[in-house]
Amino acid sequence: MEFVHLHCHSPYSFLDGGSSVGELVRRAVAGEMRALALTDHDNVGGAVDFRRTAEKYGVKPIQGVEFTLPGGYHLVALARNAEGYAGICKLLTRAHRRGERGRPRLDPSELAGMGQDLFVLSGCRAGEIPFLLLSGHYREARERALFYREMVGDSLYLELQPAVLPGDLGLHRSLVELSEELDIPLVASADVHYARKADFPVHDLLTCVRTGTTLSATNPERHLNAENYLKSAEAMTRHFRHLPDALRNTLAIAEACEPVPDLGRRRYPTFALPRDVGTADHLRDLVRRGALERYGHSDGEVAKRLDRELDVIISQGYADYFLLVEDVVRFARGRGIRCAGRGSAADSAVAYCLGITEVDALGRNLLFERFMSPERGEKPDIDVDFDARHRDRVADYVRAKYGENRVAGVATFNTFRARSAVRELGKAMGFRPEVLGDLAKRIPRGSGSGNIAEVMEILPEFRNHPEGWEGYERLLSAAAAVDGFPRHISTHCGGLVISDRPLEEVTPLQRSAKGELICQFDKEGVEELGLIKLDLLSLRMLSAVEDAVMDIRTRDRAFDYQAIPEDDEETYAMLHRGETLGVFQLESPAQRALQSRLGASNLEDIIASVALIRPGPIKGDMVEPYIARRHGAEPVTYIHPDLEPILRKTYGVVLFQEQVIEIAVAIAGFSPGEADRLRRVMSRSRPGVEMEELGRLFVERAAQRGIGAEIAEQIYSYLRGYASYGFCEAHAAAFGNTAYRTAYLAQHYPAAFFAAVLSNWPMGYYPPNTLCTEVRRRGIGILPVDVNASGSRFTIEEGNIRISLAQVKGMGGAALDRLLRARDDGFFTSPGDFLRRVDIGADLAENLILCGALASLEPNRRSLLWMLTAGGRRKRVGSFARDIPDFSPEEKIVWERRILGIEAGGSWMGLKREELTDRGFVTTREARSAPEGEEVAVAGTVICPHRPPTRSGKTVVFFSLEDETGLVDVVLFSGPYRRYGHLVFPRAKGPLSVRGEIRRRGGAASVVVQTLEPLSVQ
Amino acid sequence: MGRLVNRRVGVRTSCRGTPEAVLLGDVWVEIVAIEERWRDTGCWWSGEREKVFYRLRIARGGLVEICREVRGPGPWVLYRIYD
Repeated sequence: MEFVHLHCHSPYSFLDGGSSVGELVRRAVAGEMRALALTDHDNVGGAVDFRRTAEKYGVKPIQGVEFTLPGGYHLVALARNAEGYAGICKLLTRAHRRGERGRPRLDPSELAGMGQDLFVLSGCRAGEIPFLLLSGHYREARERALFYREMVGDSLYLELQPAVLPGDLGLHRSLVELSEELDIPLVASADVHYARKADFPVHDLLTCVRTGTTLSATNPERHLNAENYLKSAEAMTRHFRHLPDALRNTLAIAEACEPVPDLGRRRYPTFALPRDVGTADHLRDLVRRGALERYGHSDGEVAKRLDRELDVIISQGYADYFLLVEDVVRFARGRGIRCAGRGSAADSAVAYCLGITEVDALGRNLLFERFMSPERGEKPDIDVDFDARHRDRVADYVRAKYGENRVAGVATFNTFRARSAVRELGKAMGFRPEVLGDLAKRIPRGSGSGNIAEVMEILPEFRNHPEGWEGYERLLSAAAAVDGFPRHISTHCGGLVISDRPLEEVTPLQRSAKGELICQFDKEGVEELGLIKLDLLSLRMLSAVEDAVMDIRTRDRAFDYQAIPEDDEETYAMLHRGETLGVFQLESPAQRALQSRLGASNLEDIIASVALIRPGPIKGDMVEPYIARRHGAEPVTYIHPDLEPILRKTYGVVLFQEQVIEIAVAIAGFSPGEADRLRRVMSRSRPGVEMEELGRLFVERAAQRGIGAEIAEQIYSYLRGYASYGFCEAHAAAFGNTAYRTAYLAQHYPAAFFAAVLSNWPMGYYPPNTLCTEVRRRGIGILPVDVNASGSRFTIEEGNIRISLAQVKGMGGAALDRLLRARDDGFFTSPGDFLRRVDIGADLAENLILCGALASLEPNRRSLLWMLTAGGRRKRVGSFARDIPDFSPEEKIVWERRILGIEAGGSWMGLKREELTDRGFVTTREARSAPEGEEVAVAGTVICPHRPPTRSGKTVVFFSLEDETGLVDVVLFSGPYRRYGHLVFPRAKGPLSVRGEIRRRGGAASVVVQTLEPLSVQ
Repeated sequence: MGRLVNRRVGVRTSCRGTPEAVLLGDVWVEIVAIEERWRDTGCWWSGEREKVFYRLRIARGGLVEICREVRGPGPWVLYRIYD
């Protein structure tokens, strides 16, 4: 007998679904089921994925939900149609807004009158009716059944499940009796939580994670048996052959339900304008005025380009969207909130003229089709970075303008990756946390959990584990099973959706951790639902720029960040020396090395740099040819003359996505839309068959234009070689612009710039101590934190940088406010005076003492500590045991590093320098200036070890070694990596001693490791 | 009150595998009714296999629970006797 599962949980039930949406659908297909319902707990986050997947496999998707009711009861609802889906969204929104965050509760009386649009099923054993029946309360169950029938009429069904649990026989008897007595139909279901019986252990483990228990512990949430799998129609028929109507009703319900949600229908808002002003006209007018500001005129080529773009934008229906973004940017600028558009939007001259981006798309001849194309028909994505501190103000403006009920944040689903899967599943399996932590840290960050065993085979850091890794097979296999499963929902970093109608008709809304409303869909989901997304991103570097500019203006009122000259020789000279620590996008070891070799002399070089140091160009071995051609050491050749105008600015190397599109158009006569399809296929991690098909088309079309097959194939092979490392030129240009300007600030206003970077940390690549070492290298002093001199941010005192009080571990905003307010009444005159006037906890007071923040009042930190801890700080104020010996300089540095993250009073390595010199170690500064091939011994702290992809596939590790004189870059090639990798990953325990050979490339030196060991000093 | 027994027991089943009589001592006692039937995966992580349990009303008026591993199937075990 045919059967359809109408009660089915996926991983979107967050730790209560043991099989992916795809697996569930494929299982239904294997069982020849014509439809399948998805009923996750209190959310429909899987709806888009489910609809797409089900339709791909020819299965009818039925969207539903399992609501949680007051008392924790469950109730299943299935959408019969679009109104039903909207109803579910509204009910879920109310349930989430009513209950405390993370504990939504539906008031079942809100189902009243929704029977036309919903089917309601009584649910599993946690359903109110089954629960009452199991508890022997038939009369109460009957009352509740009558209540639900009053709410939804004939759309109510009593759910029968083959749970094969104690009490089943009685429960089924009671449900049948209730059905007969009240004439409420029965429906069979299996409360599916995983696709196959064999998947039960994964579900059981996830349940343990969800309930915070281990396998050996009992918990009522854990299932007693493995019966919640997607049973075949035969199995369901065997269970319920005596109740054929219960089986037949699954088909009737499935037949009556329409697939939802509706995908692809636009729900874009309109931009409010006076009645007599048309959107298109208004946009054209704004752009024309912007062109006058940007170009000084709006004629000729400018007009031609802008008209072409505007025609596409308006005809595609995106005029409102552009006006909306322009309005947001205008709001920010009007309030002095620094912002800058990024991404492919910078390919648009219209965006430039509207002030959305700062990249002159026309001047740079950027390809608009990379951003928008009529053939593609995809929504253009405009991302704007804002000063991180004010991004929320901008979002509030959008909410106020379009209505709280039409604006919401975009969700993101945090998924299981290797590290999280190992930690969480391992804990549930009873492994010791320290063992799991040790294992997890050795796994490269961001790795999927699907192939941990292979990674463990390859990486040397998995060696030298005292207990070995035997006995972990089951954990690794469970981790592989949950790879990519959504674990919980959270907020996308910048996305806001704006709708033309109340959002709760399209997506359920729930509160984020910050208390803002978010959708239950991620960025792909909201786009599929036809919602327009605005990415308002927080960029801390813009906050740092703002702070630095404000500070510079206190000394130089005429300073204008926008007017920074693009040809500043000193800035380029700094880049040539690779001294780019702290500079936006140019500070990584690979970027520093590139800068010292590239010899950048204009903004184009910097833009290329931003695109070059990416996994793709490195893997594709594009960096060396680029540098050689840039210096004229290798001829720039073009295998076809039509390539020259496209590739000239990158010396014949395909570097940008826009170039791929242009080549496909120029050589093969692809339409811009076809060319963009090629670009998108290439961007996939596995381009596969489609790439080959496009290749054949490319050669065929090129032949029609008189280009021989051999040349066309060669050109296509370049494009194929480029696959997967595409980088958008417009994005590189937007970032390159900020990169150059921050380099200028670092060169000309280093104190202001680095104080601002340190105040707005975390950002960038390096920890505060490394940035401070760089500050010192530039001849600027780092002044210790001081309760009488430090502020809430890093400040400049006579050209030096004073460490901020906010840098002290444990210093929250409230404590800092109290401290600064107390100081407003007068400087602290003694430690006792400080402790009397400032109400802070003992832990924070201890940290302030240990990091030297009270040293200007009493230099002996140990005696201060004694006073605080031994005597009771308020009673014994002023009575110091001054004869207690202070901490040693070494101890002080260790405490400072621990509490401030900065060695404020000097460097630990500096204290050991004499001994190190005696033992033949050179400083990193000496290593940086050593000649090619010289063998050196150098010691320091490991900074930012990483394993970028390489063309050969071999692992090469790069890290920096830091001492009191700065950094030197270190390279650990494959062989030494296998010997010493465990000393660097997961984290070096302390300073390392490196012996190796100096390799010089351009102006930069690095140490190629021969031997590596922990540094032992007196 | 139930008493845990957990030892092998003889069970006569129907052709579909449903228990019909249980050997208590050396006497086959007829099963009057199957009160409950359930499955339990037990400690799967320790290698324990899934079992099927029956709570049976027997002819002498008593109540017993028997079980056996589903795969195999394994031998029947008298799991619990109720007073």
